[in-house]
Amino acid sequence: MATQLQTSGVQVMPTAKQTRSKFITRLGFALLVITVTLAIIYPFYWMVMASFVPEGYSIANAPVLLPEMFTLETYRTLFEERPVFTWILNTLLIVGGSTAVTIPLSLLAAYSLNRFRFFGRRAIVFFILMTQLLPASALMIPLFLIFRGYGLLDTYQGITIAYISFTLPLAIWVLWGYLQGIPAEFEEAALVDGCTPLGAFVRVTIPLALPGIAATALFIFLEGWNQYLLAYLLTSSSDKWVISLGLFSFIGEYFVEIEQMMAASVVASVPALLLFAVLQRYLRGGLALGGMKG
Amino acid sequence: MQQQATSRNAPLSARQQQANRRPLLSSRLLPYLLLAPALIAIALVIIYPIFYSLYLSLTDANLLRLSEAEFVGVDNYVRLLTREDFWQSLGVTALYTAGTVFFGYFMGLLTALILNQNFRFRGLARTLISIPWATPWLVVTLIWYVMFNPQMGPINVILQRVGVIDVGIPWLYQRDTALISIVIVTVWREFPAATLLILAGLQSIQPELYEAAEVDGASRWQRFRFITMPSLRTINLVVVTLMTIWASKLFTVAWALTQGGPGDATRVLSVYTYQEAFLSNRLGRASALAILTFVLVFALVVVYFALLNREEQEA
Repeated sequence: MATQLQTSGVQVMPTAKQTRSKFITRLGFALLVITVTLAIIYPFYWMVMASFVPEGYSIANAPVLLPEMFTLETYRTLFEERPVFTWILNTLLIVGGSTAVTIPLSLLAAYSLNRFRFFGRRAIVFFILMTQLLPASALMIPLFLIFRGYGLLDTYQGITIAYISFTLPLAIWVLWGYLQGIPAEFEEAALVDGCTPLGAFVRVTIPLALPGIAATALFIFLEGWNQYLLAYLLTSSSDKWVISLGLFSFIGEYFVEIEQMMAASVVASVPALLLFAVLQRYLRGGLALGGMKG
Repeated sequence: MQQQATSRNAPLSARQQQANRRPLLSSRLLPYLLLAPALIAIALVIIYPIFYSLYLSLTDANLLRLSEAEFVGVDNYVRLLTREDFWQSLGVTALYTAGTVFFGYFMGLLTALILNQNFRFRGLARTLISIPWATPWLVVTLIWYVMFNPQMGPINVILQRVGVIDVGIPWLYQRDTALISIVIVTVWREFPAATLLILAGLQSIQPELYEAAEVDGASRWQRFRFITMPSLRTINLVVVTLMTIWASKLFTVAWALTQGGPGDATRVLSVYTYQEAFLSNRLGRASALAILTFVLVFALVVVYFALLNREEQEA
């Protein structure tokens, strides 16, 4: 009780010593914030910086901070020497294809799991959650053999189907969470007005869920942009490479072209960062609900 | 609602009768019909492959002579469990998982505590700290491939200029540092997820708790120890669970940066599975390995979920 009075008394009239210690605390905190943030962002900063120096500069000068030269030349040679656009186009094609299949299927499934109470519902929810635990390394062997049997190796269709194995459970999970936030009353009103359950779903639920559907599609896209193992295993010809395989091709080259490598990394990061910025609003919910994927 | 119903009493009852009859028939089947396409797709791309894998794990299938595969029972499992290779790989995976979860959580907590303070440029700091998480995995890999370069890699250059080392360390190419390097890369990419989750947890703690503690003369550390940490218990479990699952899925970094090497220093279970299947052609043993990995992850997650459930019931 005595100490309590003491502290509250001190707070009313701060002494010079106290103001100084407060200042030191604030300075220390500012230094901490700056150090931590800079340390975290540094590798990313270095990538961007190294993509704007002349080729060969990094190996010769080992720059740590700001370089003394600036050029866009690396980007020109990157696009000339490597089929970056093909990689991006392939990724768009494959991820777009799997999204086009995933979204309708997952929307119907999420709607069913959300709005109906039926036998086996809990088991199915648990089952879908469990499929998210499956590492790609557990699926790679059977998928490879099955695809080999059906002639799907090294085809766009094959990779697209393989991508569905991780986009579908993820999409069901995220949409399930989103639909929970839409009150069922809207649909019930439509039912009372004579809509069939499916009619209510199409005319009421889908329009209301559009932002969530868009977010899910972007989420899937981000996952597809990141996917590596399945693409690596199921693709053999370089004209079908997706972006991650294109980037991987830089590693292990005898003559490491650091500037091109970093320029390609910047090119591959831009769409991901933009999507991330758009999705940030959903990420907290999405992470808790669908974030089983890494 | 009530008023509307009574004022339009007659037409509605007729409509409702009609509506009542239809759902009776369909509402039983409808949920299953809606689920069917998704479940069929999952059965084709997940369930069938998993059962195929289960079957393969009981044979001596070889990638080059698949048709000659013979049933060998649990031979593959017995061989794996009695071999040092498997336990070595499991050990590496456990170390990697423990490292990423521990340091990822620590970084997440540290940055979340910082971002929970009121200061200018907080939004900017938050955005900058989230950037690694938004960076594609392969880009992360390439960045750190350069960062760790023995000659010009900024990490070595900085350490040399500061005077900590004389000669650049070949981080990725020697046994002692390869696994640590991969943990660093993974933590760098994943910790912002922990930051955002923990920050959300911090912001949901009632400020009155801190005020009351301050009035009672609790020190900063005591407030952290007795208010912050207990309030974060559920979030902590979620973060640890997610990071464990992510660690169990790691392939990209360990494969792209070190191919599981040098030797077997970074050969986590997923890399070991890949090598067994597609470099040694031993599909049977590799399938057994994949199944064992999944069972292990599954068991761990069940434990976490049980803890989480208990936590929620106590709350």
